[in-house]
Amino acid sequence: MSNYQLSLIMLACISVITVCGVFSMTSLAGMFSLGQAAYMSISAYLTFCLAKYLALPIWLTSVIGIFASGFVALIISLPTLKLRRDYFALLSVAFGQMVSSIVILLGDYTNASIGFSKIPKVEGLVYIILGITVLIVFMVRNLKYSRFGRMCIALKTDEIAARSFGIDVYRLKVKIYVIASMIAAVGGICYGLRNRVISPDAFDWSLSAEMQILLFFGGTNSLTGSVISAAGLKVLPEFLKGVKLFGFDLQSFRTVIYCLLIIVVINFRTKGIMGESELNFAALKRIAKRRSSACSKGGKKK
Amino acid sequence: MSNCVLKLEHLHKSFGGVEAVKDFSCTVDEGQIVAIIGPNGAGKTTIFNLISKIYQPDRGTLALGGVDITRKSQIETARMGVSRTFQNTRLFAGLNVLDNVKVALDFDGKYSLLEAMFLLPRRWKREKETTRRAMECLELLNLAQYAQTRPSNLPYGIQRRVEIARALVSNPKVLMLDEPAAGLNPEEVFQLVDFIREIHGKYPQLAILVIEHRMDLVMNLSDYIYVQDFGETIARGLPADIQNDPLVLKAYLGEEE
Ligand SMILES: Nc1ncnc2c1ncn2[C@@H]1O[C@H](COP(=O)(O)OP(=O)(O)OP(=O)(O)O)[C@@H](O)[C@H]1O
Ligand SMILES: [Mg+2]
Repeated sequence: MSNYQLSLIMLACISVITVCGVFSMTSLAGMFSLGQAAYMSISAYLTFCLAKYLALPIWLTSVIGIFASGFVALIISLPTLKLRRDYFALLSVAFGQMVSSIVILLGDYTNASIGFSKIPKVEGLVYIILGITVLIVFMVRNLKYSRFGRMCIALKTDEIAARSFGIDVYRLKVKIYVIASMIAAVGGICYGLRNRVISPDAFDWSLSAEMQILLFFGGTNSLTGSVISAAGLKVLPEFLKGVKLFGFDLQSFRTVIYCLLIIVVINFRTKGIMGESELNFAALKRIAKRRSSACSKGGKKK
Repeated sequence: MSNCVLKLEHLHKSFGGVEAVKDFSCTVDEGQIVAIIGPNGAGKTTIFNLISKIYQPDRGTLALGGVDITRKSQIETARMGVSRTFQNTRLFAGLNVLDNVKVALDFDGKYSLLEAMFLLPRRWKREKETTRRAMECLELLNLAQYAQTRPSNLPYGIQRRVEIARALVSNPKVLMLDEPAAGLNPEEVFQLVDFIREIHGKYPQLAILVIEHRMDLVMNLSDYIYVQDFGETIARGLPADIQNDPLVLKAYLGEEE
């Protein structure tokens, strides 16, 4: 495979990782945040700065970066998750901007807006990132089909009813928020390793918004839907490169195409392409059965 | 003789200028069915909300099995064995019937987030146990055939029964049913009364509190009746006494006609 293809695969994987984090937070527990890219930023900067200035191995600083993000998420969520959901979403934007400013303020170490590029090269990165992606999807899937997943879906629909079954809504939300932020942190490190340069602009609120959009596009409550849309929509613009329609270069219209797609889906399928359904073996079998029975019926008519 | 499970003393609750509950006292014994009746806005649901701690009382005390729960939170109270249904069914729309029942056991699921995410052995074991208990409860209440259905695809009468199953699965000490017959057709109401009797038979220790709008329904179901009007208890007693109480007939039946 060419380097370009490998790079596309990594791009898709990183998108899947970050959207998985947002899935556990928004789709399961109903917390809407526009600040998840900040956790990518925190962990990426910590990981690569520590690796450079303290000369520590990258795997060790990655672990530090991920847990530090989790700790920050804990500190941020303790007061804010007591607030109403809309205030929580607003505060998440502020938090994201705050992290960007801190990165710029620490310009002596982070190289501010120019970007930090002292990132070591890792051999076989694509396999590592693929492995991590599979692991994260597996973990989030298991989360969904566990008692935590059920309690999350319950509290998302009706917090008062959830409490009357002994569910500690606040604690559960904090836990899920921390997990989601640590997943974002993993995505941030992968992003740095792939791009070999990180800058505060790369992790601003528009990236957080993009994760939410990819999630809603794929299906508000469907993990497989989100994974497919995260990977597909992220690499789609690359395929538009060099394609011409009526003399226009589609690549330069990618934002327009992106938004049109999203408007169409949100209008016609308010719950995203896959809605709540998951793609799994049982569902595939069901579809296959329907197909074959439809075919046999059609055959009889003839 | 029998043990007192729930004891409420001089409960008061007002919302702004509205005194929704004034000086409400009541005791419920093990295995007893107690009904609270009264016209719209009498404060019946507010009493349930005070017991399940959705609201904290302004004054008065609550005790569950001899333990004071006046200052306990909604979550603690639920975990101590106070279970309820809601006036407008509040099943979790995103979960199927089985998961709706399982979720009532999940706060005490006994496996950690990490065990869940990595599918460790304890997760399988506990999950199996939860499923078994939930299915047992559904079977007991003849709801097993709906296990995999989403609540929104079920008739209202069945939804109400699923809500009762969800409230029962954790083996509570007190079960509170808020107008379980509301929105049901006469046929379904008939089945519901049988259903509550069945539960009473199968869980002999359980104390049941029922709110009901219509008197006829509670007369042959309950052991004891409290009649509320504008937040006050205007009568209390055995069904036979209530039926002939002139105050009740005036306040209650007068309103209906
Ligand atoms: N959260 C609240 N805020 C303000 N007022 C409330 C609140 N909850 C109840 N009330 C008021 O308290 C009074 C009693 O309400 P409650 O719902 O307990 O009556 P109810 O007996 O259950 O009536 P219904 O038969 O209609 O269910 C009503 O006047 C209602 O408007
Ligand atoms: Mg009511």
